Amino acid sequence: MSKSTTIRILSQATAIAILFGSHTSAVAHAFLDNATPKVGSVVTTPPKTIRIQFTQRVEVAFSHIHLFAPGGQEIAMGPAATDPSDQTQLSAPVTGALAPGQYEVRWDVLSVDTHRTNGHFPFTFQP
Amino acid sequence: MEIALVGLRFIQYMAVMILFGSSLFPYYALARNGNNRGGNTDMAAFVQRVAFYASLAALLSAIGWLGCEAVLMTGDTNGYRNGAVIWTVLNDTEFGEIWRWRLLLLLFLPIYLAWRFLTHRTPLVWPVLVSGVLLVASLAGVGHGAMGLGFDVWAHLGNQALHLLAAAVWVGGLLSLFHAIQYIRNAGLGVELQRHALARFSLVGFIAVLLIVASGLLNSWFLVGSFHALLNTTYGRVLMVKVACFLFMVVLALFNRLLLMPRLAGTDDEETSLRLLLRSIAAEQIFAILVVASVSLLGTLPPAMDRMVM
Repeated sequence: MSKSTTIRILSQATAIAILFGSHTSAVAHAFLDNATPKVGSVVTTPPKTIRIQFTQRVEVAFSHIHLFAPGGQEIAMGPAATDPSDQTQLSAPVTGALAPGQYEVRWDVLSVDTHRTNGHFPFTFQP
Repeated sequence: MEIALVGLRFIQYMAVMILFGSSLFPYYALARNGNNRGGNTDMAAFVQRVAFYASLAALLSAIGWLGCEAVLMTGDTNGYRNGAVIWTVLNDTEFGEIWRWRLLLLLFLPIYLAWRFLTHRTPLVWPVLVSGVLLVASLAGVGHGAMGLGFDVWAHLGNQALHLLAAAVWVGGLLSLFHAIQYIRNAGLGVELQRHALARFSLVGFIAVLLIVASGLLNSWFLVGSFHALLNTTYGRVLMVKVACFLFMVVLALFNRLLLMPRLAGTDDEETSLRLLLRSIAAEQIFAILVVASVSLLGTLPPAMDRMVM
């Protein structure tokens, strides 16, 4: 095998290896990336808005955020909306009153690839 | 509901790939000289007839697909018959933005083709070809093709559209090739025309295969990400089945090109070779159907990369 052929084969193999090597910067469905209030955090003032950043753009028409009090009752919230400049951010205003305690945020969203995902996380309000 | 969606996706993909691939075939594979005028007219009539049924199948499966999405997006089993939900899906989602004009095109095409047929107008191939390009390429924006952030969205969309169009050239072209070989044989137009059609289809098929492999690798980078994910997820395993069927198609294509085509040059076993060739093309079509079936399933599965993240 000539030197140039060897180099060509090696470079092609390297290109394929790079292609298949690792690519984890993006995922297809929408999963929670970060949230405000932060997942598991303790806040001293009641949040006016729950904001969740997802790993994928979401369809606001079929995406929801719910907030539940320590006893399990649902806290009133306004309609969810996406950030006009960033469709991966979904937020909803908290319209109900919050008493001190641990709350659970439940989300279910539809990503633009038409797949549904859901999840939940806690935060504690402790004035 | 997911099973129904897989079936409807399969019909949709097959139908639009046939629309595009079969209508492109006459432009590159048929000899333009006088002794094949009959073949060209017959092919145009064949394409128009196939396009009528394919566009009807695509229209019905597109309506069914929309109903399935309404159910899956809302989680309500009656979502498919809720007008407000269907309206929201069509108006307020990226899927709907693409789907509503696809539905319009799919509604128009069979009516137009039926009108041409009923008024005895000369069959036209180019309206089918243009519709086919739009209908195949737009499928890239539905499902996993829509994923990504920033530049990734456009890179993935473009790559997915290229992948689908190249696959359609081959899958849809096989149907027209099968018909052309049979027509030329039955009309006694001579082996040269068959060789011409086969040689041209092989050349275009070779370019299509290169594009399919290159864009397929890039798609794997977007949706699979690693060999580990390829081997350890349902998505990855179905993808490997798809690739295996694709490789069978490549082997059959090479068999046709390298072994059967040279034997069509007026040798004693010409008729046997021709029969074998038609069977080989039919076998290729079966593997093409399996490839499209696996694509239909892949679109409903979480990409391998997601499973590894979860």
